Amino acid sequence: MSSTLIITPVEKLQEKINKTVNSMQNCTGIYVSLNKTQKSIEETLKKNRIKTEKIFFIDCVTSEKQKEDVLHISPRDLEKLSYAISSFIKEIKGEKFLIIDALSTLLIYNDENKVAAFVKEITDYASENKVRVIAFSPSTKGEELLNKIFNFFDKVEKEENESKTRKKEDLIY
Amino acid sequence: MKAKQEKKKTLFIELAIISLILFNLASAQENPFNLEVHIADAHKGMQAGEDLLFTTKILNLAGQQRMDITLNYNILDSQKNTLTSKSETLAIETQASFVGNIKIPENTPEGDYELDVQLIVNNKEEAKGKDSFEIIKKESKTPIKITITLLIIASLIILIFITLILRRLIEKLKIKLKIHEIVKKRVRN
Repeated sequence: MSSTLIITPVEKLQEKINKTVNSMQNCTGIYVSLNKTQKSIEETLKKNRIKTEKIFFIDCVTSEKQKEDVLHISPRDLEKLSYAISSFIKEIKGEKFLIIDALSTLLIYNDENKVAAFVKEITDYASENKVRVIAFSPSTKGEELLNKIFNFFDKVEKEENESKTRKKEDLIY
Repeated sequence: MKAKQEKKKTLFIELAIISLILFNLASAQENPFNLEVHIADAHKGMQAGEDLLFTTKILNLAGQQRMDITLNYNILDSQKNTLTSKSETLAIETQASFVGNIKIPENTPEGDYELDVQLIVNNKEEAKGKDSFEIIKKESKTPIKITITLLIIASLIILIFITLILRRLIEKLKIKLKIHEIVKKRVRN
């Protein structure tokens, strides 16, 4: 199983997420939501006729419990977040995927070295357990902060406005 | 007859009293000072480097007017070698009693020692007094109170550390249980 980091313009981010989730409807997914509430994501996905029954949400935006089957974790607590992801991976049987939306948000709350360590831990664990990891990040002026994180992904896709995809070797900041 | 005997008896008592007074006066002339040195039981066993505390009582039997005296304090080992000494001059009238101290050198070996005090008046030794004490094995420099305090602080730090670890473990366990519940519920549906 592979791990991919998708960097895309912010206006295309949701569209890209929808496509990715739609392409994996047969698998069970873990969705780590870092910049939108679980409610908002679920609504957006449903609007796009994407089934959410097989998706488990980790909501890092809402601190209050709104739904019984949603886990709320602070984006500052990477240890807990990592533990929750690995616990979901252990609990879910069969083929599964992990979506991190959006990875750059973690850099607002945490030091880049901590985020790098978190990403490494998650990608390693996912790889050992044959879980596909897809992390999204909007391409912004501050995306060079993701420099330390690139290396932990098998593939980095950077989509410019003109929709060109590059391999991570081509990405020089 | 009886009266004569009574008179003789009274005379005899009077003579005895006078003799006693004369004898005391003579003794006082010969040795007018009495010096007593006493080390309290609590200081009989002490460690090298500590201050030896003792009381000195001086009695001036001659009862002269206020006069200057010198006291020489010597710490002697069992071989009568002087380990350390100290001297002080003070003025006394009929009697004086005071607490003195002398520092025992740091490197003094364990064993029995003697505090020897000489009372000097006009460069002449008038009286002597002594008492003995023991130097015992030196304990660790860290006083027990500091050790206990440090132990308490260390225990508190360990306790806080354990509490934090336990809290973290409990939080993780809660997450695990919640995830287990969520997944189980979803599978059932």
